[in-house]
Amino acid sequence: MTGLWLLLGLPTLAAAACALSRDAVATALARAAALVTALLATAFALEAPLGAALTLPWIPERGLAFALALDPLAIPGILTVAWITALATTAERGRGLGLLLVGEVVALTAWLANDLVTLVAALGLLAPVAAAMVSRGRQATAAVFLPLAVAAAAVTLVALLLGLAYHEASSGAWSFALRDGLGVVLPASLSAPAALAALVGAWLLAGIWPLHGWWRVAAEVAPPGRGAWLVAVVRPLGIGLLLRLSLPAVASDAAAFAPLLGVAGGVALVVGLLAAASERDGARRHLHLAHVPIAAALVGVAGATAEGLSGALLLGLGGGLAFAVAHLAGAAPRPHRVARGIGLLGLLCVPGTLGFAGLLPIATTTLTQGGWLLAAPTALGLLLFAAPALALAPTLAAVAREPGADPARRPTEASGALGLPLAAALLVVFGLAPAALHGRVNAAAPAWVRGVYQRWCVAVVDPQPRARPAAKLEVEGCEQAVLRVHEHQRGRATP
Amino acid sequence: MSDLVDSLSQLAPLAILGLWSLLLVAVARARLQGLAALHRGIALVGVALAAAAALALVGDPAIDVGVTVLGGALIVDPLAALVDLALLAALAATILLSRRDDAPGIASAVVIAAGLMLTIHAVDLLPMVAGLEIGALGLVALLGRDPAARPAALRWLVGQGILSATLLFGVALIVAATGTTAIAEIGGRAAMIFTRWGAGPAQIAVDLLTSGVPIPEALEGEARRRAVTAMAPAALFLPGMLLVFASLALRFGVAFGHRLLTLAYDRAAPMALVLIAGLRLAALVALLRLFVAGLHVPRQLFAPYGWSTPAVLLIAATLAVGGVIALRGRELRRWLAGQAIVSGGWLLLAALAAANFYAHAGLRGGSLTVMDHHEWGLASGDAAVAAILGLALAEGLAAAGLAAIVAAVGDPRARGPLALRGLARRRPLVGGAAALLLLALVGAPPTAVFIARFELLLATITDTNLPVRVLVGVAMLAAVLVAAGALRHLAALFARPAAGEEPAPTRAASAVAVVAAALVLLAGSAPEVLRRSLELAACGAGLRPGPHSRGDRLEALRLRWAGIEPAAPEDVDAPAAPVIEPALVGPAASPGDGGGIELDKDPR
Repeated sequence: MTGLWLLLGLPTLAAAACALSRDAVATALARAAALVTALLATAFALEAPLGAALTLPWIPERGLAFALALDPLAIPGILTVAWITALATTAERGRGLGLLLVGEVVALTAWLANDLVTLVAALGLLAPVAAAMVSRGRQATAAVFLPLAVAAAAVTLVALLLGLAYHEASSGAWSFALRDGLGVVLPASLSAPAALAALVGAWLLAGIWPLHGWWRVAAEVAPPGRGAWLVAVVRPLGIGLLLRLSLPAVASDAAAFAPLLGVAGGVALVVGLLAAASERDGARRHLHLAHVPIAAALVGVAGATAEGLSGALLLGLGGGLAFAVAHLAGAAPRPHRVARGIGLLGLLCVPGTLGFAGLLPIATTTLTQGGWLLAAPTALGLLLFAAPALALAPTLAAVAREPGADPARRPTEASGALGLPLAAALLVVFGLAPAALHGRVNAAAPAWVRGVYQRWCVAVVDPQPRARPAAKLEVEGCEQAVLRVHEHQRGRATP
Repeated sequence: MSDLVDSLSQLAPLAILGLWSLLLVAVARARLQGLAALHRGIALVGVALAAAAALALVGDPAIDVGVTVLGGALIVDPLAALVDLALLAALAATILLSRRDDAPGIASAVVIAAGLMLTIHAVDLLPMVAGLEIGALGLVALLGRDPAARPAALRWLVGQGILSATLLFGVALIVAATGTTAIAEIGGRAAMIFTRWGAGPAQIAVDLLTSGVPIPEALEGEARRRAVTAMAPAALFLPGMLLVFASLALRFGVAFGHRLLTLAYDRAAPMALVLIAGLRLAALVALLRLFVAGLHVPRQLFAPYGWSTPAVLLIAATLAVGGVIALRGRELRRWLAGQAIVSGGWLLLAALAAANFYAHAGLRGGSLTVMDHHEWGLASGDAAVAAILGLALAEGLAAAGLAAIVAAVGDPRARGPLALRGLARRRPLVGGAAALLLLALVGAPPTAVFIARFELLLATITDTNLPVRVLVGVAMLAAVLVAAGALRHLAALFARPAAGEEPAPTRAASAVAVVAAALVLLAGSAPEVLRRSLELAACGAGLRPGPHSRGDRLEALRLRWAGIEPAAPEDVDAPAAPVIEPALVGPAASPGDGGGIELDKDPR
């Protein structure tokens, strides 16, 4: 609990101090606070007891609370936010760094939210913060703000419907706790609008093709540090939202959801790779490759397996870190070719990078499962075997020829000297030894899969016009069916 | 005589304000040199006395069930007490924003507020209309105090005059059809009109006339007479109801009436700008009392004749128009107008849902017992009314605070579109307050508007009717547009101002903005106190005032607050007869059903 307070309190205080300080002091303060928060977050994510919680009641009668908890599924997200904020602060200077710290607090709150209204509040604040980070021209600001605000509105709608369903299932009690909302089997009348809103919210936030316009604009228009932050932090948040809210919330529609996600992931992978291969401007190639990790993560989510789940979360972290490194290295006045190369390789999920550690379990389960979906395995195969031919070689060749960035947008020299090599090293070190992250995420993944399958099975086997608590249901056949699926996924039994 | 004294003591806030308005007008007319400088102080004393009286009434169990006074024309209930307090706060801000020696302006503001307070307390059509006219037309005096704004004041006068005529014509038709001006009676009598229309002899006459069978001339004449006699009251009532609804909604600032609002926001001085929020609040209370609490019988609400059909179209148009105005609002005043219009759409949507809940209370069983269904309908309706009041008060507070500061920095044409450019750099406290108020108006957490919007969405989305749920989606998209429009003003607050263009709001405007920001933040972070006042104000809003109808519900509410669970009925599954107010009784089927927007589905 103290860890949670520190994690949010430190950047909040630092952001306030930045606003009241002179530029030089604000720079030092923000960098120090971001670094300490990153170290704290790493220690907290890897060592704190799972389920550590912090709850401040808001409207008890309505079941509203400001509630945070350490969910194992949020661990890669917390690290993504903390590390990338620390990296991004080295690329800028001045009082504006306070904005990055505010963004860090909001993004951390969204990952740690244990209450639907807390999540809605965090996403609601994320949109204006993101817009403020761009703030270069009306159109660019609107291009970033509107999709994120619509995503927040969509998540609000999901939260309302889940709250309403819980109210109905519990005969009149109100609760917006994530666990309570997701512990209900929705009737079709609530499930359909909730599914649509949940999908739209996560899709927009993750910037999945073809709704990827906002992060392209952010990366191209915003100053390098903020551009890297927006893409690398907010998009994994979308994948997290898909995993932690969207799919469990609409488990009864999972059968319709999963193929859609898989196909979309496959298509986005192909689009990203082909666009990167055909891009003439080497400095923009990473913008196309940024599709790759998120698309692969989408395939992992679509598979609804424990391995796919943890792989998707690692891909979010790996992809985000790789993008930030590639983006900031490319924006430096004297390009850090090694760091940029590692960043681009990270985006392509080549072996030895964190992306590969996430991709491998997804590929294994999706390719062996097969059958239910054609596009996703094909695309993954393409990524694993044809990516070098399609994108890797020209990408690396281009890195060697890239000129320095426009001096008007240059980050500070310090960022090149310290931040980028460290981040690139992190990308490789966790790629080679991902066990620490895998272990914690895997602790929660099987239960998540089991819960989704159970609600889906109950909704299919015993459809009802009213919402019901899933925990109290014992529909004949579901327990065994879920168990078999679960065991099959773990590779201990044949279907 | 003692009745009059009793009534005045119950109506102390209104009585004090009424007396003070006369006093201030007299002082302004006298033009006494010595008193001119004291005018603001005198007015503030009156407002303080009225506020103290209103504060004493908020939460007072004696007025829980609603005390009717002056022959049933006015009511003193928790809703009126709460809204009185908000109106008096707006009036105090208005007086603070005025010039110390502006005696006519201050007197006008107090007269307008007294008129609006009359509307807030009205449960009879006549005082409701009278108060609204004093408020709406009186604003011309404030709008026209600036010579440059006189053309706008004239347009306001013409627009409001047309709405006044519409309102009066509608009221006349309703009175002609029902024979009463008491709001509590109108619903029941209107239900009887439809019952008679669909009842035996009239229906037989209609069937006979439309059958095509040759009938004797005398019989045909009698059949025509009976059919026309039965239908005539409905033919008077329906257009009357729709005219009153339209004029109240347009005065509230919904689409097609939004031009008046943008006009006023563009040109108004600080005093008028804050009081416009008061006018909208009074119009909202009138809408709630007449349409949500009074005219929610299915035939008066649902298609093809009810007010829900125009309401759905009006809400959709309002949200779209307001969203676009706010998005394109380069001037902060124009953005505020767009925000107010969208807010009107949200409030009207919740009012529609509330009326829908009340309409269904006790009428259909479904899978619940009749008593459960009745209770569910009333509880859901009350929750929607509480949410409406919460959002109106929270947004009104934030809008008034921001409007004060915007209007105080001067003419937007002189200062350019981004009126508050650089305010946060020059005056961090006031700039921060303005930023907070802007964020509050877009519904950012943890402000009171965020909580109020969440409660309103929750109350509205409980209604499963498709048009309502679709409109919830539209409302959220409109809110996104409003938020997008706010970004440029938010950025301008923190931008570097050009030399010589630093905004310099007056001290009073700064104080109003800072206090409003603090209250908005406080009410959002610790919302329980306000929430209880809202619950109390809305409890039993769909029932007639009085101990027999509202008493049980209020008692249960106070027991719940005390942590005591009310005793459960002995056997809830038994087919108990629900206690249904006459106003809730649905009519028999009448000719001409079908068509229009389908909104009579069970909202559960």
